Amino acid sequence: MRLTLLALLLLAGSAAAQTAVDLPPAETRGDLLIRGATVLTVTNGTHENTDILVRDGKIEALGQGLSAPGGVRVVDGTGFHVMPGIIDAHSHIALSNVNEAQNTITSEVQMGDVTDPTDVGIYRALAGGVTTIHTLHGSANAVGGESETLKLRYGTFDPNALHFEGAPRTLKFALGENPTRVHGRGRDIRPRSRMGVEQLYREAFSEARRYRDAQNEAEENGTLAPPYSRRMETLADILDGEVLIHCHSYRADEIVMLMNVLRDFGVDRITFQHVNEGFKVAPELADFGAGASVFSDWWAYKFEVYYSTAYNVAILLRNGVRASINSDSGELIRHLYHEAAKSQRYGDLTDDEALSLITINPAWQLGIDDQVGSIEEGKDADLAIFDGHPLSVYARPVMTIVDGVVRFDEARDGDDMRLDVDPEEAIEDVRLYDHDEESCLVDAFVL
Amino acid sequence: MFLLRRLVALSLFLLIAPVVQSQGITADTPLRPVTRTFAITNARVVQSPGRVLDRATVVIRGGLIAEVGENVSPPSDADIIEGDSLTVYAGFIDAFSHVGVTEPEGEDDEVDDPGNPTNDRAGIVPQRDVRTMLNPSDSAIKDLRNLGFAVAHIAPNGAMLPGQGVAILLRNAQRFENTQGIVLTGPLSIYAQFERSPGVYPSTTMGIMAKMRDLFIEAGRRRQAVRQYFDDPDGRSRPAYDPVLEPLTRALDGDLPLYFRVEDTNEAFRALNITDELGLPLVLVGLPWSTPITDRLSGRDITAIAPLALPDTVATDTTAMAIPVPTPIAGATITIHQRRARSYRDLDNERAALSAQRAAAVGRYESNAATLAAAEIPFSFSTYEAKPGDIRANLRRMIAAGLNSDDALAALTTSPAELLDLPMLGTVEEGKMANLVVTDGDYFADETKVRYVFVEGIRHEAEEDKEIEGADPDAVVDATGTWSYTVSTPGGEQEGTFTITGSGSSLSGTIETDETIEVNNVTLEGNLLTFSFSQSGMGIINVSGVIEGNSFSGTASVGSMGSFSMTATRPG
Amino acid sequence: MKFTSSLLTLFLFLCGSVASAQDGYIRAYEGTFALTNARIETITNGTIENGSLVIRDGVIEEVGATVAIPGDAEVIDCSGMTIYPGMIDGGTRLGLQEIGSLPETVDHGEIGDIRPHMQALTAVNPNSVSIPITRVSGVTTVLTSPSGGIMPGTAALINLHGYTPDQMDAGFKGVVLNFPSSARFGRFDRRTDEDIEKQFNEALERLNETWEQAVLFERIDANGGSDLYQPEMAALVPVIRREAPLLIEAHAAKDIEKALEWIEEKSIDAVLTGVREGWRVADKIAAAGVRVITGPVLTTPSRDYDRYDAAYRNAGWMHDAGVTVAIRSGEVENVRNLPFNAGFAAAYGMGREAALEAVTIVPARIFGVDERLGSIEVGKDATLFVADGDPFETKTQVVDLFIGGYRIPIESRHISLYDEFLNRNPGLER
Repeated sequence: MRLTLLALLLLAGSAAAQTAVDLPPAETRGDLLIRGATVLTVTNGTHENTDILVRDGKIEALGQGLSAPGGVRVVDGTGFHVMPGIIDAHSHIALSNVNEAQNTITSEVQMGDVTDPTDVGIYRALAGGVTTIHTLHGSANAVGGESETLKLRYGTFDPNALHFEGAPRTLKFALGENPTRVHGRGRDIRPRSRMGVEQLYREAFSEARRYRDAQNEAEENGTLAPPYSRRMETLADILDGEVLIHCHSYRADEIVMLMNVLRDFGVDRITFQHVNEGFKVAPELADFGAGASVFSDWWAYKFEVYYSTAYNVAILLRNGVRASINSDSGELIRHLYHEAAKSQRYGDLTDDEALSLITINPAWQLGIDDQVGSIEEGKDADLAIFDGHPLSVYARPVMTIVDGVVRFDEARDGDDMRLDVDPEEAIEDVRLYDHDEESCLVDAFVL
Repeated sequence: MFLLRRLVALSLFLLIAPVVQSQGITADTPLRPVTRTFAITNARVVQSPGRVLDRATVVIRGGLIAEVGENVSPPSDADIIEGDSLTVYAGFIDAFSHVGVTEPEGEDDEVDDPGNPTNDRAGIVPQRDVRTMLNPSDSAIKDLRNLGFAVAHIAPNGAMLPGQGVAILLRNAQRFENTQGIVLTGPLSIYAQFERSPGVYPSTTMGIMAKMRDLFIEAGRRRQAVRQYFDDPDGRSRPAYDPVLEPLTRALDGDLPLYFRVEDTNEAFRALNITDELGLPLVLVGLPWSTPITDRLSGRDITAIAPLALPDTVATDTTAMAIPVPTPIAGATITIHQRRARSYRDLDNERAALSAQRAAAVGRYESNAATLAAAEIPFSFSTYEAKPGDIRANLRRMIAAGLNSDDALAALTTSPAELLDLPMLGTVEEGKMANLVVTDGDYFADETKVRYVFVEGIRHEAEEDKEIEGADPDAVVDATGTWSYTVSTPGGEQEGTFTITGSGSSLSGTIETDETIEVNNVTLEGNLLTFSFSQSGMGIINVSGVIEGNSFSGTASVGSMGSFSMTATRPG
Repeated sequence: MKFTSSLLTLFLFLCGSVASAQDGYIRAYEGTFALTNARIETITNGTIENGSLVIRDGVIEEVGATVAIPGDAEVIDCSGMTIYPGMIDGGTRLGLQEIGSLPETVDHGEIGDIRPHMQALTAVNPNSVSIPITRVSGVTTVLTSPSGGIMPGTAALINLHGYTPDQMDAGFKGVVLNFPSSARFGRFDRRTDEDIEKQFNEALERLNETWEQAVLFERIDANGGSDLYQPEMAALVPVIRREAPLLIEAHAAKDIEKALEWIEEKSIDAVLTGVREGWRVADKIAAAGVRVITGPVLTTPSRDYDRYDAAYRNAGWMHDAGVTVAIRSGEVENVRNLPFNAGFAAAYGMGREAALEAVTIVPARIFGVDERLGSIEVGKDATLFVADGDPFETKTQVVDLFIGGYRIPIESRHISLYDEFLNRNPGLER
């Protein structure tokens, strides 16, 4: 099949240097030697004229004068910068659904169920140096679904092949305008106010605790446990510390509210997402040990982000909050390196600090910092190569490597990198995106 | 205007006035057959794919194949069909469709709490039996039978879990027969799909999958609780009866497989993931392109049901030039390029490349069945969403794309018989049900016509698409406007108007009967206008005819009642 | 330069503009200034590596390598710094929208499909919080445009300093035409191809009908006029007389082609705006000699099969084809990203020089204000900024800013929130 398609394409004269189906299988773990590059390790300084040896998808060695065994592809990195593959802690690409908006609590749904490996947005993210993304439920519900951490192994139709092995379970919460708009004002169903949002969490956690207690009791006594509910299971798992919360949030008061609720229920891991007013409660966030994953400069698209500042991430970082910059957008994800660089305009962060916002910090927030997020021996060979310093506006990603496999190569970029072509789709389908601000609300108003 | 009323009257007349009928008032009424025993003599008999008798006789008696063989003589009471130029196949089995099934009604009402709808409202009705929603006068039954189908496995329409499927015989209900008389057996399956019920939870694929987890896991728990209770009820509370969980338990036990309909590879992987996770027997229905999942399917006991529907063909542009693909050479040092020269003027070949991409995608769909066969994944065919008029052409496209015709035949006969565990079907052998397709040549050849289709021994003359007199596909006419029509029925002439609006391929219209009814599927090919409309109690009425100037001449056919001449004129 | 007084912050919240020193507030102020020891990128006359620039009476009095510093001038040492003309954003809704999701604060869309007489300038809020946030990035002048319908109104070029719309008026107004579109907008647009074609044809019919009326109106007007009050027709008269360009928004390649035909047919002076698929028809745009304001550059390609960088390259490709190209951000609250849009265009084929022109002198010429804006030249408005590096480079800081000779404080709400909250007091303790 694959040959037939490729042959046809060639016969028909596509100017494709590469097609999506031509990419190596997702299970491939590559071998590679990058020679003589400027290596931005993020966690351990910048090394000039340095080699990176990749074996079986892992960084085997970092140093000078490394040699590759015969047959291993060698990339001449002279004049190029290599940084860890970029990690986006908030994305809605590669998803067939975003919001299961017919209930205010939907901890039972799982984004991993609806991964769409054919989304060309994956390739576009790769072309921006991104290697790992965290796909989240939308923000219509106070408790959204379980998120999925994916490696961008573009080129496969098998959604399971993108799964980030060993990534902990994470789940979406959402505060403020979105849940109160969709449910409260949209459907006359609580919550309609930030007061209602708080009580929703308290009720849900209490119910989950009772559910788990009843289960334990049933096990002890051999009686019938309560009817199985994945919704309650997942909430109870949060209380048991098995699931990390990522919470869509904007205002200082609601951020403090949720930390108070979590304290009361004994939950100590959370990353606040967007968290535009995080800067106002940076000491409280640092004290709690919460992460913050923010926009570089988005604000004023709704009231709860009016009193924002682009200096948010700098204030958070300087106050000891582990912060990252995310995209929440199929557009921004293509230049997260540039979004991170804005922290230098707005707050004078150092190069390593700025780069940590899109590498080791989001890795920490997702619980995968032992595997990715920096260039260190033994970590996954997820790398992004740029033709200049990645924090420069003039730098362009030229090669993106996932598990040692080159999945984006500017020199071989094909005309049409779609994996899947609808045989009945019109050829000239022009679609213009303005800001896809808040792709968080996709599907939220579909009845 | 009185068409429907008159037709209802007519149907009553046909059904309950046989005496009047025998007095010869209605000339078109078929005579009752003199015998139910048939012998097809000296025919080429394809007993099963690859097993052919070149010159044999098939005897049909009492709904069964009484004898098959080269030295069989026709019995004296048989109606003899000279088969010298004919080929006999086993009647085809449609492995999945909604033929003969009515749409469920009144399911999308507004609800107060859309987050917690009743199971019924959410489309979770696995207990629903398709036998309660049969419509034996569905014209699709005849359409499929005309193609050679004698049996179909049918499932209810609906949302995520619409109910249980059964096998039916593709014949019309006989006089005084209960509508369920066409049922062969069942239930055979539980139907599942990623289809939401509008306005309530679950409203997404991920919500549906989450709901399925809850339902099946709870069904499993409940199964155990019920067992414990009935083994030893002493001191235990009785697990409440649950009509939804009950049939799901049968799926968990492996008694009723889940027929999971999917539309694309994403859905196929999702169906596989959820059924593997829950330990459910799966039949994968409807995947139009299977290559990405063959690895996952092969070597497992999962049958695929391939759609007989195909996308339209695409013209390819082969004038463009080939441009070589650079390949990385192992061991060689490569340089990261500054971007190669490339300009905005590269567009010349874009359109050609895109149409080639589309053609390749169509090609992938055409070779779907061949792909399954090559991967040795058992598969059957489904008529789901296939236009009956396209099915034979689509089979030819699949064969042209590499499908072995024996494999095609198996997917229409022996494979679905095995899948549905219906051993009385699928081959032309003594003792099997007399479901036969009789053609004037190789079924998969373009010019071959289906002559008869036997359904449990009852002979049906296949009505090929009648050549309508005067039809000219190259003619250019305008069908729009308001037409005054006259339909001639045995009960007299009926009159009314119909109106066609729109242009090109998007025509629509209405017809005045007792009320104004929207007509469907309005097409104009050359000068041949066709449309259909339906009204409860009447089934679907198909209209087709030729336009010449301001006059229309054709037929209106009403389900099982037959076709009636119809003429119309439009003000000049 | 940065203040931490919360009272001041409160004032800034309310006003969005800044005060000067005597009374405790920092205000913008005018005077005679000498910016010395600076690197000066003039845009139109090369770069002066070490020079000075004198501002007096709101204009650039002198610029050069050797300039006599007037005795009355406030001298600002710009060692290590570079002076650039203020950047001009050729397409925004700045001042017309405060908060996107609150309709009460959105003033760029009026009811009706033909309303060219709606004046964007009228509705510009000089105290929009977004204005100081924008200008401290070096963007000093923007076109702010109405939205919706076929002819949503008249866009206005404004300088980002002033207390009334009139004070901000930068001397250009242009009627906007949203050319009929065959493109889908955003992911929620589920119109069928047939719907789109139908709507395109209806819109084109409506446009042509309007145009015929306008031409008739212009002829009657030239002959002394009638006594009918038809402001929407009157607004089109300067366009018909070729006294003002029509700003035509078009994106899809075939819409651009249709728009070019339409411009030719109506024989008007036009500027194409948006033009996201301009690269596909770049030669045709160049041949027609129609100028382009394109953007945003930082956007996704318009077709799934486009190369990942098609949008980044669009401006450069059109420039290569010989089209006059200005760049716009298409933004409201983030017009400050104009230099980054230009930077990406520069990196993806346009080159830095052309990209810098595309946000300075090119839009100034398109808007007919190049006598006053768009470059560092004697006699032009002192609308310029001082930066510690390349203004497109992400980490560059703008350190001084002049608009029409006023020295504008480097202050905005974003900065003042930084000042207040970097070291919040009280911190954790109550």
